[in-house]
Amino acid sequence: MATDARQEFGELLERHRAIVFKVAGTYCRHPDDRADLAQEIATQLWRAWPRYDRARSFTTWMYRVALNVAISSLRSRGRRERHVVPLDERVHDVADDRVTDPDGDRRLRTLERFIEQQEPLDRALLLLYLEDRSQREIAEILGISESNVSTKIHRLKQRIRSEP
Amino acid sequence: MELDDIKSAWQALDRRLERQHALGLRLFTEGRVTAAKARLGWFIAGKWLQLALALALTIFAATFWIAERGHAALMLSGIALHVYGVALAISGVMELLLAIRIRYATPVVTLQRYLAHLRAWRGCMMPWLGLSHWLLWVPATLIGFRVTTGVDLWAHAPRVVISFLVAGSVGLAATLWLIHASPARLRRRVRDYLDRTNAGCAILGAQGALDEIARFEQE
Repeated sequence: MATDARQEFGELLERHRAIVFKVAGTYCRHPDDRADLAQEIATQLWRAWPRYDRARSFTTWMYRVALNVAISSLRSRGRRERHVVPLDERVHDVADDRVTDPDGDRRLRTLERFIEQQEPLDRALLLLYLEDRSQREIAEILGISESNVSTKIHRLKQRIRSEP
Repeated sequence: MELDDIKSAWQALDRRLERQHALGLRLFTEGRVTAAKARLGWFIAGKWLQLALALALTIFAATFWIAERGHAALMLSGIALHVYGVALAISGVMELLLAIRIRYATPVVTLQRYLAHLRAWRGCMMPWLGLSHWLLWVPATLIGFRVTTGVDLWAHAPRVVISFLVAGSVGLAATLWLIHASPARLRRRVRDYLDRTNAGCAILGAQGALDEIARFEQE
């Protein structure tokens, strides 16, 4: 039974692993911190798994756990920053060194800078918006009303457009 | 910046992160899960122990000061420990209630509010409970003397008790100075230490988080 649960969880985690990496990538600058956070998210997902209600969406549940772990980690890290990475280095770190794309790098830097400027909850909204999640799902993940999500996305778009 | 630009940058970042982690996600290990469960288990066990000790202290102190109503210093000492015991018990119950509600699968804003409340509560109560030790050891000593030797220390050696109170007050003032008025670099180190040990100063961060959550919930 326990083996079945582990196998089922392992398969789902593998299928949706991108969520873990995207959340970790959104909330951590340093590769080591990012790897630690991804590990912590996977651990907490496994811990929360016995209470997962299969009638509900797995990705919604996964986003909730991952974002809660990441935001909590960011808040505690904010009080005692472990690793500091200049933005340029982070872009270099995630850059594909087989391809030289100055325009792509510039866009990435702008995106990184924009993410860094957002408060933790706004970062979650930005991530979900960029992932093309429906407003209904965003509302369920964050625990706010759909109309609030709509207003916030509108403001988020304005902030993006005003970004140089 | 245009929305299309940010979306294409996001997709590029996504592809690159995926390549970096192409080795697969076999992240969770039993050891890590067990350690996480043990941490929470110890926290909750610690709170139950705190609650039991607080209740024992409250009952003992109440019995003591009621019996010593004829001796002002001993009665006040008993009342001081009684109040401390009640505060310790309330703090334990509050932290237990807040901690029990914390589940990572809760909607993000709701859980972050719980966590901020827990931190704010700890940040609010812990410094008071901790700083009070600078003075509480004096009534505890008076009570200890009375219980073990039957002597009312205040009646026999008031100057000794006053010197205890002065020493405690100096220690309290020095601690407050370190936290609030010492040179910035030293103050930051002290606050970081207190924050690490959950002994206080978290109130500022917790309040900031609560403000941020309130802003986020506003339409």
